[in-house]
Amino acid sequence: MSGARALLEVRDLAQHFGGLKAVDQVTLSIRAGEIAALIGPNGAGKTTFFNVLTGVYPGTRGEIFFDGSPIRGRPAHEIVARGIARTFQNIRLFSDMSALENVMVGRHARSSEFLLGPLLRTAAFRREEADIEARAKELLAFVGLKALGNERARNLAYGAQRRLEVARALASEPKLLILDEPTAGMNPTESADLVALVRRVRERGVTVLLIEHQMRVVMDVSDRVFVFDYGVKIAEGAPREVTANPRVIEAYLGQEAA
Amino acid sequence: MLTQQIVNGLALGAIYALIALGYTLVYGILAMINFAHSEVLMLGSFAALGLAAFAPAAFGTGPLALAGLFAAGMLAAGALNAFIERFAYRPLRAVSRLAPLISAIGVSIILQNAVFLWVSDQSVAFPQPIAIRQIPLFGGAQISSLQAVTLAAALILMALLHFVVEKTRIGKAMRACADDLEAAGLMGVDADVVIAATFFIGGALGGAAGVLYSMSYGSTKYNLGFLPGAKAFTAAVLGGIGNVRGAVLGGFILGFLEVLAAGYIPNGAQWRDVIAFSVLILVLLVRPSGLLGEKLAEKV
Repeated sequence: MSGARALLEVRDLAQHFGGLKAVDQVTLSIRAGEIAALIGPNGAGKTTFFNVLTGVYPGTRGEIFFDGSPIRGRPAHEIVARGIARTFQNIRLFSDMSALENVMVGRHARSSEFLLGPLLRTAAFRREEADIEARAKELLAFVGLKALGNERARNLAYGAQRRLEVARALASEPKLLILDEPTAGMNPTESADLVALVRRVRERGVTVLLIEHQMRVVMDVSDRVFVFDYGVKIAEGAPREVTANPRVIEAYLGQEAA
Repeated sequence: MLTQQIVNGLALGAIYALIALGYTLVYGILAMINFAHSEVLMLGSFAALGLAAFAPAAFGTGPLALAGLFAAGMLAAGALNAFIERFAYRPLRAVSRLAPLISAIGVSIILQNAVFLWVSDQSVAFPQPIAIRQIPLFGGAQISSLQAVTLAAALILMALLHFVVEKTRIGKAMRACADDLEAAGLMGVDADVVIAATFFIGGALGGAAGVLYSMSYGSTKYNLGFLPGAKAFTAAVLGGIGNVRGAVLGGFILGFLEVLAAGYIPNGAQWRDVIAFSVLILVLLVRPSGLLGEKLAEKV
């Protein structure tokens, strides 16, 4: 792992909706192997930024380089294939499908399907299918849902659904995993478990970028923190530096403290 | 008497169910009603007819000729449906919910008129590859060889569809897209490919229904698709549009309603559509999202 190499490079990125500058002039880079956090008050443009990174929005201006190639404006499924996967602020599992099937869908970008394969049950198809299932099961075990593979996603407990989203995202074998408020709605024990999971994800060699509101989690898990306010990046640095930054205190912590 | 009506209802319902599946598969993913579906099944029937006309020697009777008609009808209808999606719906997908709907009505009118003007404005005889005979069943009821073929073909195709949707990767991707199209894309599913495949599969089922329908009437016509299309669409809504099992259930219920109305009510044959659709309205008044449908709030 070459710690200093930039995996993701964002230059002067903007996403405007009419007159609203949801994201503006954002320049930042994320190194391979780190855990980075994105914080900021509600409406600071954090999720919009994630949506531009992952191809939901095309972006208005600027550039995004991932692993050296420009990706801004590429279709979402192509960005996944290049190695960025994500979870959602509001859980968006495929609710009628089993936990295992959810993870298998996440593997889509890494599998080559010929329409005739499944009908003719070719040997290559059966091998790949077995491989997908085995890897999906391994990922379920990794996030601690080994016994729940056949359960429908909608029937899982809240914390389990969050973990399943992580397993589904990991199924595409990402280089960068983007987590949108992974501990939202969790109690302290569940949060601590999720932090441990994020660390283990990094140990797999996956770089992590997460949006997080619980400062305790941010301080605990992240190597570096970026702070957004009104769509603009106002600070970045190590957690301790950032929380001491007066601009950050004014924009973000000041609100909380007040 | 009742056994006979059940046999007739099953055979008719099977055709409606096949067509209804095409509406419901597309709706499940795009929340769009493919109004051109009735023309897709009509052109499937004409494609089968075209193949028979092109190779008349091969088209006597027998299972090979039957398979040929199905292959031509299904491939042509599937390809046509995917083609329509690519050029008439996909460019409008991001524009508005209404635009693809209007485009679908346009495609429907264009296709119907094209066949009317270039092929024939009259009914055209359709090949009859199976010898018509009545097979006695229990209770004095009979099933015609044609009805037996219709039921067998429909059941095989439904089983195949079930297998594809539940067991294959493309099927999982289809279900994922139906659940959350955007999230599926963000998990690496190429929605355009899945949607194209869905249109192909739905069209092919419609093409099979077109061939079966024309065989049962012994002819086909430029407006062949209109009535069964409208009824199958209603069947899909009755069962709960977007729901695969609902489409099959709705198709069979509609088939039974028609046959029972024709069999048990004086002058019922003339009134059967009125009766069938009255029951449909009643069911929808009680269950607006259809028999197996989810509440709309869950879909949006």
